[in-house]
Amino acid sequence: MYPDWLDHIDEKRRRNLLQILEELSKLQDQANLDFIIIGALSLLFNNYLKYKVYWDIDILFKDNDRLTNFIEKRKSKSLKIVDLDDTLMINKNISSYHTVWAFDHIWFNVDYILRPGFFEYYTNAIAQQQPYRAKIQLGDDCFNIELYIAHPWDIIVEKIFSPRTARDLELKVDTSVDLRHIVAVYIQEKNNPVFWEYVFKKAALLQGEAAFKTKFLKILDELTEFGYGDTEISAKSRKILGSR
Amino acid sequence: MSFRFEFRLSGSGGQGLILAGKILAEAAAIYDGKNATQSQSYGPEARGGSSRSEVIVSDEEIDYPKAVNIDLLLCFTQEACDKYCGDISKNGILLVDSGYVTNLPEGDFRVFSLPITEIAEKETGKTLVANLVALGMITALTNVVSKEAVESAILSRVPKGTEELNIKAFNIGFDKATKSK
Repeated sequence: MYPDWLDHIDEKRRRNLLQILEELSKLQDQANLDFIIIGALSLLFNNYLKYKVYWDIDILFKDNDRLTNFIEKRKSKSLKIVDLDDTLMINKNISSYHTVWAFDHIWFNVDYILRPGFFEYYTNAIAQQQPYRAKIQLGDDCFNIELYIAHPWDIIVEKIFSPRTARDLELKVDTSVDLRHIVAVYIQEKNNPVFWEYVFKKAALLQGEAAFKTKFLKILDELTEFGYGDTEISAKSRKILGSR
Repeated sequence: MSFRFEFRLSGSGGQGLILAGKILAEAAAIYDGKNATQSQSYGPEARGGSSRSEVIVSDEEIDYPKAVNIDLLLCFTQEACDKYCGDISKNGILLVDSGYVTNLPEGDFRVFSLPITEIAEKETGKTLVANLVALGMITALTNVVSKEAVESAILSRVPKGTEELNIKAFNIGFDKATKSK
């Protein structure tokens, strides 16, 4: 197969990304899940994002032990990993370690992340989730990918609550990547009742449904200021979010 | 003869330097057909702490993705300038926002001290586009990535309703730096 999302990867970088995803598939302990891929990649794989940029790979680990094991785990000989940070950058709500990976000379940012409570948030219904499975043919090579990737709607709920989104809203950052992702999903799902039911359930695991509705409505109300004035806000979605 | 050019954009979180680095790399690779890597790292307190984005552009394969001999250093804080000015290559370029960096280092490099944030505020009414003003300056000062490629990369990164503002910010930076050369 050749998935649509591959068209949104720079042609020179496609093979290397697939190699990295195949490597991560081998490294992931799917019986006792140790990490999950979060961030834009999930939105890309699910065809919400349709533009060509440099995509990063964000890996959320269950805990520090899993992260350490991952770093120490034997990897393919041809894989090169260069550390960008001297140590794990520990902050109040999130800790991260930045690396770049390559199989040849095309480098991808791969960020290791620890965020208390969020691994559980992303995997709370893991029994019902399936890994992303694909056999992707590129030229003469076939890449086998079987990897747990965060549900795209979970990512949107998290972004709506994110302090970074709040800051972008406050400072009117029209280049906000998070807002762009939220808008992309909203455009496709605004009239989908299953979407709304799902996000309200997941919002309850973070700051609650009421806070979610308030924050989502605020974003929709300000879309024009952020350059998304052509986005049609459906009456149905406004009603669902409790607008008067 | 092979060509490798190293950029480091440094300052603090929230100044849009990671995005500027990504746009520069995407412009070089996707729109100009060169090889480019972009990497990022934050100091402690990612949002508000230090932030650093490195871009390497080359006409050959890039064996090592970290910048070691900086050809252009952009500094949006005095701290970043003090920390990284020693990494600038001979005849390299130091570009600083004169509103934040007042103590200029001396060395075997060219210094461009311009009021980047002030220009953004005066010319567009938004200090937030200072990163794109700086990107315009970098593009003009280095001639490594074409102006058209950077414009295309900006357009693929910003929403339709703000395209004009962001391209304007970039062009203002480009013009100011061209006059300063």
